[in-house]
Amino acid sequence: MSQTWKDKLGDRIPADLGREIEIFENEITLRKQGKIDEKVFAETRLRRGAYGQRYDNGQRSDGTRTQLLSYPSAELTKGPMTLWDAPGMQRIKIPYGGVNPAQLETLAELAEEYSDGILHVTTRQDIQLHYVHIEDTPSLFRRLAAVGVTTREACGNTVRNVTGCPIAGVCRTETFDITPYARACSRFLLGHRDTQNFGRKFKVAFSGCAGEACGLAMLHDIGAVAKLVDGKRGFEFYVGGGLGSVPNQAKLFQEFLPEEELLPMTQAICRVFARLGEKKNRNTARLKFLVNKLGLEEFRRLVLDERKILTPEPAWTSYLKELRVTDENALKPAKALNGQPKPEGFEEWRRTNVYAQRQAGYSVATVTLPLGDFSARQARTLSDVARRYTEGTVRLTVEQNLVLRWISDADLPALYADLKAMGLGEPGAGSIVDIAACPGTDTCKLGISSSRGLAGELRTRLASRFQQMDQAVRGLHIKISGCFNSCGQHHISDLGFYGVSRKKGSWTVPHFQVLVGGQWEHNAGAYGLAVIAVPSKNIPEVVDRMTGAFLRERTKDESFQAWIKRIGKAKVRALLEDLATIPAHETKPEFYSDWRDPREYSNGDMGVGECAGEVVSPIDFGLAAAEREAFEAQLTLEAGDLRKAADQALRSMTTAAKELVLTKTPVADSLPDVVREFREKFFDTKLFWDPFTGGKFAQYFFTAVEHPPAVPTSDSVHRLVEEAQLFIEAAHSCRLKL
Amino acid sequence: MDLHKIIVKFFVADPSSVKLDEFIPVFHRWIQKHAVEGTLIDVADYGHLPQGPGVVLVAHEADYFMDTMEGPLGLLYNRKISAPGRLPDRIAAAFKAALVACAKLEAEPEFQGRLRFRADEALFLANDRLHAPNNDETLQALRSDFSAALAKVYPSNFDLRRVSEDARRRLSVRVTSRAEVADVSSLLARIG
Repeated sequence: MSQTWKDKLGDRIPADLGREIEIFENEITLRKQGKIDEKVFAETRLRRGAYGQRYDNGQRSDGTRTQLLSYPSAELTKGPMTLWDAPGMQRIKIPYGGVNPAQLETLAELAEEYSDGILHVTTRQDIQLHYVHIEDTPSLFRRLAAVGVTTREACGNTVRNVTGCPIAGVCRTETFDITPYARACSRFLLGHRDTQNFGRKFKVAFSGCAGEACGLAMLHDIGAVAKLVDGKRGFEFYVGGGLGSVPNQAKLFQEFLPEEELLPMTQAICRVFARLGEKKNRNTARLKFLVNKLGLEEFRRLVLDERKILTPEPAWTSYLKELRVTDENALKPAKALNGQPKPEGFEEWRRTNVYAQRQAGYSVATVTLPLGDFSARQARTLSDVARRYTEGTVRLTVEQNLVLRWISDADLPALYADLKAMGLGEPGAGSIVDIAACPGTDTCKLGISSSRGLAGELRTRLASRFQQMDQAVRGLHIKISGCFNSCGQHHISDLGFYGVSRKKGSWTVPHFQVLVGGQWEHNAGAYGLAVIAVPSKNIPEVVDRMTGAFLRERTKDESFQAWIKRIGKAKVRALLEDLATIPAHETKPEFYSDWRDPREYSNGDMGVGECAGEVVSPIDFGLAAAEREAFEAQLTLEAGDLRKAADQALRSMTTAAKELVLTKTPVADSLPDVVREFREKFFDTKLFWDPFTGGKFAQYFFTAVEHPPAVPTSDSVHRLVEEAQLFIEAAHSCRLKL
Repeated sequence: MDLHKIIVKFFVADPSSVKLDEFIPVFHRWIQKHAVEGTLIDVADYGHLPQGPGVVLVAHEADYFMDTMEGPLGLLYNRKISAPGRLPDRIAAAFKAALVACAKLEAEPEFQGRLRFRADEALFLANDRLHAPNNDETLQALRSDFSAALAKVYPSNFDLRRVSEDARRRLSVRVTSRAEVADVSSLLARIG
């Protein structure tokens, strides 16, 4: 019998992880024998980080027609509409992004043997491998376990990767090092009995200070920001944040949560969430919905009551006795850079990619990973570099980069030369060229437009003139998602984009919604709103116009966000309005395919050329009107008239719903008529349903009609406006099906 | 040796003659036309990484890379699913599949006259560290399999040389013909 990784690694795999992997391997066998239901198996694999991937339903549009992909195990599935042999994505949790050279080497091996040679860093400090076969996962898990990494609870309705500032412990502005707390929290919650019955995923983040962005505490279910009160350590403790389709700023749960209360309070929140959180409708199942539904005060009361009845666990405080366990050491003595020969390009790289640690003579070097990718070969060389200059202190960042900490300043030129030799010496970390993007249509089942294609294109264009750029533009952030689900964190950047599509005659054209007003700093302090949908191929011009206008019009030291606020969204829209026009297919066919993908664009199995000519139907006019109304709601919100903005948002949804209804029935005048007909003809028939989110967007409309906010608040109207935009997007998608 | 995951790479004679992104539409067209064997799934573009997998035609049985990770630009055939036969048959099948793809690429209208693969040299990788670790013993154990597999490809004999001593890397063997070889088509003609 041939040797297996289980035989070879033996007791290098921790017993508990080994047992779990064995169970999963058996579940694979049972699923192949048809003895486990596909839904059960789907959740089982998701809880181990094994996701589905685009085209895993066995269909793919090749640009001319939809082809059926024929696999050997044709009938076998690993989940609903997910074929067994179809390649999938494997997410690997890296708590607070901390990874050592041995782990990097193993990740490189896995990328080569089971994937396509690429390691992709996510916006939550995970690593993702793509094109992985489900039957390779047990060996993959074992090899990871042997170097202390688990994929457990990387997906599914579980506590996801616990994230944290990548420069914690060496940061000049932090209150204290959050690393040991993030580590303890990650370990405590992993597989904990109180985290196994959630209706939806649950995300935790730690930040060392309130002012910077590194931890992004405000957009997590739990966000802990380090705080000292009278010399005692604790956290400013936030709950109910989240991005997703409708973002929600976290709410302050407790001004100061003493460190010994961190884990028990988190546990109490998990228990309340497990008990009272939505379980049936996954679209309203995140903690933010429970907090909004109960109100913060009631939620807090329930959690505090829960906290009182918890049985103490040693893990709550045992780690506090060994807080220094995550402390890092330098490999080399601190030595100034003075007099070192400097390779060409070094100074520019140093300006953007080097951060002086609070420990004198040491720096953090950011390795910019284009589109968050690095190859297996680069990963191995990086592990050599990490050993050469540091004690192996590497962290992944939420900006999809990687940092090397504790570099003696004198080593920086040599380090730069090494990085450059492996193609990873690009400057521009944290700048406008350092664009974050989710996988989008490259590999994600939910992708609408090519976020990575656009990011790559923008990066190439912007990098070519980076040296000549004004400092004010250099410092801007661009973030891109392939759909409204925010994996690219488009809400919290200066310029955000998320993928949508639009009809032009019989064609479908890839677009991006343009968002402005978001804030990266202050732990993601503000969320942007969409101002206009523009064809994908016009987005580079959007960036040029926006940055150009900003430079021309900004007052001294005015930030991009302040400039947007001053000129108002109406002016932003007017600036971009002509770019929203889709040119005719005959004159500019390139608009009908996406970036770096020559296929004629399709967001489904829609045929091409079924309609004659370029006839614009009434519904297209109607949906355009709805969009306009939604935008007006934004402007009214911006002006501070909350009641009117809420009314306008509702009206925009009603317009969109009515336009759809009119395609089925000749008259629908009053609001009750529209709601009734829409419910009957589009909701109950599931015509309006999204394949992945079901009837979620229709529910936005029903809720807005049936439960309008009694006293509109800035938060509630912001949410309503966002929901109106998403409802209209869903109406566009529905219109494609008609 | 229980080795099934086999990689074969042929290098582009003049890497400056082509750009990586030129292969993207070609691979998409291959999917449309089922130009090579197997269930062809998608095209992945990693052209943004200078030492990466380049442009990939992802398939169920085997991926086709225009690769820059394992040496200079070349067509890298990565067999993922076990092929039938004994090990020499599997190695021979991988060489043939790689050569078929090289010949097709050379014949694509975009590349005609510009793209040429070197036929006198190839790279073999064992994509399985468990069964074929990167050491001299593995290469010794494989020698007879190579002789049997490549008898038709390089009848005038060939040399085998390990590319790297780094035990972390996959076993990577440079196969060099002792006689001159005109082009990949003539290699293919020998295999039949």
